Amino acid sequence: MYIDLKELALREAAKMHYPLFYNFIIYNELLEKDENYSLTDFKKFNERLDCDIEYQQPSKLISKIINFNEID
Amino acid sequence: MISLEQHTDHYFYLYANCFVTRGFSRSTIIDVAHKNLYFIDNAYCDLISRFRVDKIGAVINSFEAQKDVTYFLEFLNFLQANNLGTFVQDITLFPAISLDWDHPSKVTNAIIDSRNINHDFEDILKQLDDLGCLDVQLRFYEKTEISYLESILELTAPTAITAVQMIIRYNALIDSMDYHRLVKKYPVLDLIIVYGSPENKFLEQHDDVREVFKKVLFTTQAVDSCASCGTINLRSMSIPDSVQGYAENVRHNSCLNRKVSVDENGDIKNCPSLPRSFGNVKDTPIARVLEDKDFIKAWNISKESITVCKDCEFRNICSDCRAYTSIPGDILSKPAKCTYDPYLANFA
Repeated sequence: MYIDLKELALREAAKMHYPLFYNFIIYNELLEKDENYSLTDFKKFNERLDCDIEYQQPSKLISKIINFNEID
Repeated sequence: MISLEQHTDHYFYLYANCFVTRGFSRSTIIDVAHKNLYFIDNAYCDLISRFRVDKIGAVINSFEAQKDVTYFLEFLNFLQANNLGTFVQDITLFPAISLDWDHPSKVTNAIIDSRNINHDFEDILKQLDDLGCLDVQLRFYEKTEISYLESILELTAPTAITAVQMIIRYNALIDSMDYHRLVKKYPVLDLIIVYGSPENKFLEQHDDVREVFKKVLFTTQAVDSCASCGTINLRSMSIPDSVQGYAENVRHNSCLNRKVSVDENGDIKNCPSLPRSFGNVKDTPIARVLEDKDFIKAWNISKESITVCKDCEFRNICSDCRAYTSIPGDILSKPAKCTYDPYLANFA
C-alpha cells in the first residue's frame, strides 16, 4: 500500500514550543479541511504567553444561579 | 463469578481514579476517569479500607457467616465488572495517589455581575488575564443588547481566557438566532443562558467533531439578583474530569477556591452573594485583594469542616455554597439551598 507522506507545516512561533524532533517529523497526508469545521476555530495564539490557547469548557460549575432542575 | 481459590493470595487494587466517600447512610465510589458514581453500603466502604492492608484470603477469613463470603465475592465481582479495580499480587507497587492540589493560575475562575453600571470590562478582564484566569462568567441583571455582549467578547481576544459564560435577561427584541450567531462567531463563548424566557429550550449547535453540544439555553427561571444563586441539587453536582479536579474538591472549597467576583457595584468579593467587600475594582487592583489572608481563607473551607456536609456522601462532587448557609452568619453551616438530607439519604 502506498502512503503519501508530507511534512507538516508548523508556524515558527509554535515550533518554539515543540521538542526539536518535531521540526523534522514526517506526517501522513493531512485531511482536507472541512468547510464547516476547523480545529483552528477552537484555539488562538496568545501573544503574551507565546503559545496556542485552546478554548474549552470550564472545569467546574462557576455559579449556581441557574437551577437546571427547573429546565428539564 | 470470581474464583475464590484463584485470588485468596491477592490484594484487590481499587484504581487510582476511583475514590470512596463515606456518608452517614451510605457511601459512594466516584470513578473520575469514566465520570461514574456508584452507591455502596457503608459496610462495603469498611471492606475497601482493608484492601490496602489485607489480602483477599485474610478478609474472607474474618467473616463469620458463609453468606458474608458470598456477598463479598459478589462485591468484588461488581468492582471488577465496572472496571473499578483489579487483583494484584503486590499492593505496594500501587501507592495511593496524592490528593495535594495546586494550579499555576492565581485565579482560575471569576464572576462579574452587572446591573445598569458600565464596568470597565477591559480593565477587569486584563487584570483577570494577568492572574491566569481561565473561566469567566458574566451575569447581567438588566436587558442587554447583542452589540454590547459582542463588545465585551472582543475584549477577550488578546487574553488567555478559555471560556466565557453569559447569563442574560430575556429580551423579546433579540432574535434567538442572534445568540446562536454570537456563539458561532466567538468560540470563547462557552454558554449563553437567557433567563426569564417564555419557555425552556436549547438551541442546539451541531458539531461533527465535538459532537452535538448545547450552547444557548433559554429558561423561564426568574433571576433578579445574585440572591438567586446557591441552589444545590443533583444537577448542580458534577464529577470532576480529572483526579486534579477531584483533589481540588477534597482539599479546597469547590465553589470559592481560586475564584474572584466583582459584584454589581464593582465590589471585589469571594462571591457576589457574600457580604464582605475587599475593595472596589475602580480603585483596588484584584491582585492586591489576593494578598489579603481573609480573602484566601474562604478558598480553603473544605466539606470536612462544614456541619452536615461532612456526613454527606456527595461532598466531594458537590459545588457547595458559603454565601447562603442554613445558620445565617455561620460560614461553616450547611448550604441553606441544599435539599439533600444525608441522614435520610433523600432529597426533600
